[in-house]
Amino acid sequence: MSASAPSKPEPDFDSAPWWQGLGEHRLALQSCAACDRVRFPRMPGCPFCGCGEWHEVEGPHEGRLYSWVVVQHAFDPAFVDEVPYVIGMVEVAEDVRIPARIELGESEPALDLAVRATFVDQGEWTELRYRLEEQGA
Amino acid sequence: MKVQDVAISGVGVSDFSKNSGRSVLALATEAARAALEDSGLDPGQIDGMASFSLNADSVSSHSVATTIGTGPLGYVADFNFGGQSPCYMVEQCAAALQAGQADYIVAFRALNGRSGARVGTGALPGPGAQYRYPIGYGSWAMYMAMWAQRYLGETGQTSLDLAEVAIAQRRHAARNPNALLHDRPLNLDQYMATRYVVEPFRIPDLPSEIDGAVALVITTAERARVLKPPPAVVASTAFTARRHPGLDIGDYSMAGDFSRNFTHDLSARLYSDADLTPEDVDLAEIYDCSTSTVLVGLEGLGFCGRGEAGAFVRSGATALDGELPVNTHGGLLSEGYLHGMNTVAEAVLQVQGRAGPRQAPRHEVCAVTSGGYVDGSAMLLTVDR
Repeated sequence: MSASAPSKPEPDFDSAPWWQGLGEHRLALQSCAACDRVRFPRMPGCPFCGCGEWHEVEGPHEGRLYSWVVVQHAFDPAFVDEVPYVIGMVEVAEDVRIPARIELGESEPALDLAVRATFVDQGEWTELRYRLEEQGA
Repeated sequence: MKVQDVAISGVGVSDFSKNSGRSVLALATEAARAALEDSGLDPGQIDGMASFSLNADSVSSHSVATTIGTGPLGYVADFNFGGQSPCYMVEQCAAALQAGQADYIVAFRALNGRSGARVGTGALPGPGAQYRYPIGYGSWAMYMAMWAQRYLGETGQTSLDLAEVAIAQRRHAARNPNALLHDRPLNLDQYMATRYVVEPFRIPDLPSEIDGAVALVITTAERARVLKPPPAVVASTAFTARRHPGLDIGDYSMAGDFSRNFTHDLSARLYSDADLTPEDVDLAEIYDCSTSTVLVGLEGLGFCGRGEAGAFVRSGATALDGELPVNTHGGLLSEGYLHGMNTVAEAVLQVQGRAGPRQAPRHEVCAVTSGGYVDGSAMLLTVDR
């Protein structure tokens, strides 16, 4: 018997634009109306200056691998057939990082490597992943 | 926080096991009663209670005040927090004692952390959870591993440095009959033969979930002096949470530098508030929800230089006869994951000179920490002087 399906994201009032954006292969980030800094996750106030107003912006598809882990044990039984897999924290702006699966291709993960967004259709939602840029490219 | 005339007196510990077969309330009650008995106090003298729990995995101060039959309470605090809590709870109790809100406070942590709501592998709900669980990023071990990878990479250390912590603490556990891994010695070959859970962590890099409870009696130093155990004096305490600490306990994505943790952030204040320096510290009980938090904590508290923690442990410095014995009970890794309350209990017993076969030879000043990454607390305990 195959493992149960992973949980789906449950969008809330704050996060809904993010999930909608991923469905359109966009990173729907908020940019602070006062200090212009972007933030993630989506939230109703700016963590850098406290301002409650923002503009919608499209985040970059490029980032760098701030850190990463290799999941060898499936804490969630839904991922039994997936292990081992890599999760990274992808930095898209200073102190703004997105957790995501990392597709390695032929490369090995290492700190600060360049990565590029890719979008995986999970049926009812779209998952943001990153793949390592080709080394030396 | 500069602490004036506050001490920890009695220590009460339940059995630690993988399946207590008892209610959390029964465990908490046993530990609280044991702490009172240890101090030689009657339940009716207790006029303050404190506890912490994560995602409603424990029982309230009111419930334990009821089952042990305390007097009327002037101070109650139930913190909804994780492993950042134990030293912070002592800090809050110290503030309450200094303010005269209570004279004798029982502070406890109780959980069926293995057989019930699992303390290390349970879900961590909150607004940030939707970004983690659907992608298979759903355990505390993974979050600590993410910090560890950055730390190891930036400092040029490896999993061999993590291994040293696991091995050193397992050696301590052999002297502690209450440690879950008391009879399970570990050497480097055995470590390397264990499987990875989430790289860079193998099984021995992560704590052993247990059922159990720990309770402490916290009172004024003056009152503690006439109780049965010698006072473990609280010289200073500190808590800090970084800027933008996150939407829930598993959402740390904006919390700055992963290669240093809260110990780095609060260290200067902790020492200056006690008029002490790292050189004055005889031993340390460092919260270890992973081996990496011990290495990061050794550096954060100034016991060794940046990137030198692995070599420090490898040198034998953290052994019982070393220059700075660390996690003398075996830590959460080997004694059990009592969420750091057992870490505080061990510090108290060491300072009081009551740690038996694992007593550190020098125990006038002990540093204690609570927490793993974004936020946490710490304190310095001293003998009465």
